[in-house]
Amino acid sequence: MFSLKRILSVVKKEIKELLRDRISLITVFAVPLSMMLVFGYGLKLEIKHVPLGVLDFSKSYLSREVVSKLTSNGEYFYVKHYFSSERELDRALTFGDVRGALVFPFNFEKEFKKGHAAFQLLVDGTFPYRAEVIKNYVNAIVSLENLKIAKRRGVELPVSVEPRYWFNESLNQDYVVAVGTLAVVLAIAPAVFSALLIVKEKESGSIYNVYVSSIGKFEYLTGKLLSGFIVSIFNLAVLLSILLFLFQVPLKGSLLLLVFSSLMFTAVSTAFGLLLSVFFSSQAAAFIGTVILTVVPSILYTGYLTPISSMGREALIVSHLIPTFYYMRLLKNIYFKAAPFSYLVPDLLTLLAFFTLLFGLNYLLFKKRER
Amino acid sequence: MRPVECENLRITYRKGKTVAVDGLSFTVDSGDIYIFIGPDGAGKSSTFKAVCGVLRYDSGRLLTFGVDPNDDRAFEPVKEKISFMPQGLGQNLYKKLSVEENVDFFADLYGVNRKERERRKELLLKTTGLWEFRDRPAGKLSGGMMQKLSLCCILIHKPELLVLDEPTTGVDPVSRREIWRLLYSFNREGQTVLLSTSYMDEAERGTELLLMKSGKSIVSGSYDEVVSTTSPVFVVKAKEIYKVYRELWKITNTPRLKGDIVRVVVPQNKLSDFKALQERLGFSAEPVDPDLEDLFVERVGLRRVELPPLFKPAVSVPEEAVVVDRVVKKFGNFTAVDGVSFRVKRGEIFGLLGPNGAGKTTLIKTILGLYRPTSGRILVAGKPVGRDVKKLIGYTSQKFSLYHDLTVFENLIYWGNVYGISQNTVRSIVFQVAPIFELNRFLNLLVSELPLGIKQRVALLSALLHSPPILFLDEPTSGVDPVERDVFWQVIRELSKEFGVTVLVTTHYMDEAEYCDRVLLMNRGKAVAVGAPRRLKEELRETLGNAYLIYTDSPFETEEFLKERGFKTALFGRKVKVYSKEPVTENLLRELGVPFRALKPSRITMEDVFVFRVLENV
Repeated sequence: MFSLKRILSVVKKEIKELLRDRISLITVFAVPLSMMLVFGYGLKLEIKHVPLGVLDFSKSYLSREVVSKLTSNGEYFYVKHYFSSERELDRALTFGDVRGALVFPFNFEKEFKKGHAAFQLLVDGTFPYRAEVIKNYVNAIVSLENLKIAKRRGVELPVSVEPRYWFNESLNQDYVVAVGTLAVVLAIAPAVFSALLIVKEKESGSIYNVYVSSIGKFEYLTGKLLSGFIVSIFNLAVLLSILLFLFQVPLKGSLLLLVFSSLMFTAVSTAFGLLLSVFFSSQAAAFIGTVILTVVPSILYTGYLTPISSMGREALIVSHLIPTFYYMRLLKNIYFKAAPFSYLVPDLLTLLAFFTLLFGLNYLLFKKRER
Repeated sequence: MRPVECENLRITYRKGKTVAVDGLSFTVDSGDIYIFIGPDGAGKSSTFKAVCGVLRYDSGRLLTFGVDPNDDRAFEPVKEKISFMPQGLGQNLYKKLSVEENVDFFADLYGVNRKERERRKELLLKTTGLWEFRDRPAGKLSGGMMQKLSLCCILIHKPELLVLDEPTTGVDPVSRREIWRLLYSFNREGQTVLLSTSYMDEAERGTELLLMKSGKSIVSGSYDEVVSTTSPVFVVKAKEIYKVYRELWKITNTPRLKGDIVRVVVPQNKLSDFKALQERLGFSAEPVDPDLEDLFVERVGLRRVELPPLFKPAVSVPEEAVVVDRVVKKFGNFTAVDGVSFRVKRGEIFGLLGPNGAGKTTLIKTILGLYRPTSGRILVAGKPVGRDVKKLIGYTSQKFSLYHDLTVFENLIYWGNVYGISQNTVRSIVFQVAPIFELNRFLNLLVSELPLGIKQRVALLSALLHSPPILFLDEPTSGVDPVERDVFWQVIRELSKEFGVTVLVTTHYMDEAEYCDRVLLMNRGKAVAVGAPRRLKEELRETLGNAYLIYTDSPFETEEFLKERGFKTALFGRKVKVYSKEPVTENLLRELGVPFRALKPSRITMEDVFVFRVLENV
């Protein structure tokens, strides 16, 4: 048996304490807000404005033509240096002055006139993703030119592609990042807040009141869970408003479903934090531990930055063990695809299962004693 | 059913590697005020937590109200009957909640209904004097008030057994007496109290006591039963007291030099030697009733420490070694030190006495130049504190300035280097001093593994490496047992008396005033009194008269009775301390019609001085 009154008195106490503590208030409300803003505005996945160097031994019309084609768009590349020797090029690449370099051999134009010419592209490979993108850009631009030249030489290519993007028609990376950030922040903020809920009492010594009094485990834990949840609802409202009104990411599905699944995930996240709170005994450890345990998986294994499908088998298994993965999928389905409720049910049920599991573990593992 | 029955209790930590409680047996009867006395780390807290079902014990038999606290399910209902207050000022309070909200929350925790809650709350807050502060956040109360609020909170559900872990440690003597009075009044209503303390002088305030050291009981029973030594205790007075003190060490390992007297337990078989010594040196020896410290010292034995001359400072300081002149230190709108003035003479042991939060540490840090005073003037060695003065100072902070992950030896080398002493010099000092400080077997241990008393010695040694002429020690004896404490004071005395080192030391133990040449009593940032301890007590005796202890079965009625007749009084368990200029005799008490069992002469203590001087200033 449990008493609702006792649960509510724990909730009331937590909220009062929070409202009167300025530092907690700031961490609880300002941190998720700033994370959302920093990630939403600052996280750009596109590679743009890459500084290039050119070492042109051929000093030909054609080499200048190639360079101008690559940089004419102005968005992807610009030429930072023209080198006069290999040594200069070497230096500039080593010091990160340029991220790539084009090397044209002496006989570049002559070979072209014979039918086929090649120039070298040197790319700084320390950042593989960027290197890959640079290579692809250069390839794409050169292919386009090749196509034109081929046409001029009277050769017609048999197959061509007409791409069209669904769900995110303009392929706007910012929209995807912004929606993903909501999932990441909701995985972190409620967990961190609730991870401190029990630990802070352990640290101050007031936990003994709970140990020695007749309040039941269920009442105490439910009270803590509810207070974490209520506080996070406010955060959720703020974050959703940012998404809708500040970033103006168009919502295609139902707002109700969006809010409902977000609330479910918030509950999961709160229960996870509370579970960690049972294990840690200092606030500093609980804070760092929770941040590591939520940030890393949420960013790496949920399709936030890299699509799940491109991951290895092991990573795919890991993904399915992380609640954020399901919420991320729900979010994208609701937000971009306007998926119907029936399509969302399995993921919602999975979140419910996670919640039951986490809170159940909480109940089993919390002992009303020091040891 | 007895509140607590315990046999052969054993509690260990770190999978049995650290033994906290080792074969402890005791029984708390209904209506007892049962006191556990012992230094930090004796095992008091562990025992209490086991009694309350908060900590699992390893073996033995433990029953709280007839139920084994290790049995989670069976013990849950017993929790309605008990209350536990953890160690530390206001530890169990919610600092952001107001006084009233704290009490309300506790009531909810125990499911006390609203009507009952309001009734009990008003009663408790009014008796503790907190009613008018009921809207103040708990974090903004003084230490004494926090402890009183803690008591209110844990009493809201009318528990039958109160388990209180050091409720008076660091609390000012005035509040301490109020807390005790509260405990007596609850006890009178039938509540059983189990309580711990590290103050030896609180022993006689309970009905039963248990003296604990290293997880074991040294003695237990009622105060009068227990506190009797097999050998007689003497207070020795002489002109050349230090010489007498040194000679007494040759007879027994119990002499303690306290100001201008020596207190000593003389074993039966040494009584003739003692008499011979008395004739040879011509001192007076007055037999006195033993107290708990005598008992502890007799059982455990003290150790003599004599320092080699290498700690004699090379530099001498002016006659007025430290001058503090109307110093004020404010933090925001909080005044931590409020216009304190004193002068410490060269070679003097000067004590700053006061409860936690009195401003002692702030004052020391201000003198050392770690804080800039808001106003006032400070001179150390005749100069304002700067780089050159700091070389003349040795300092150990509260909790000691040692690195826990370095060994004792590494710590000493490090501190030597900080003061510009070569590694070889430190090495040679350490090898000379280690046997005297009994540090040999600890030198290669990590500081985190050391017992408190040893940590204290290492910290002191690290502050002495550069032979400073002025020493500042902040709460060096907090929580340390009487034997260790005596070693510490022997070192301090030698430094001061033999080598002319000036020592400024803070403490919240009122009885340590005896070891100082002069003391300053501090409360809430203000100086309450300053002077030689003997002088201060003498002055109070002149205003209040002599002190007597009245043994009675109804202490409250007896006290009330005496108060009505104009006596100054204080409650000590089932005893009433009364102060009177007229001699108090059994006949007088009978004439007045005071109910009593026995009457004994008592002493004016430093605590009395503090309490009455503070109350005077209110």
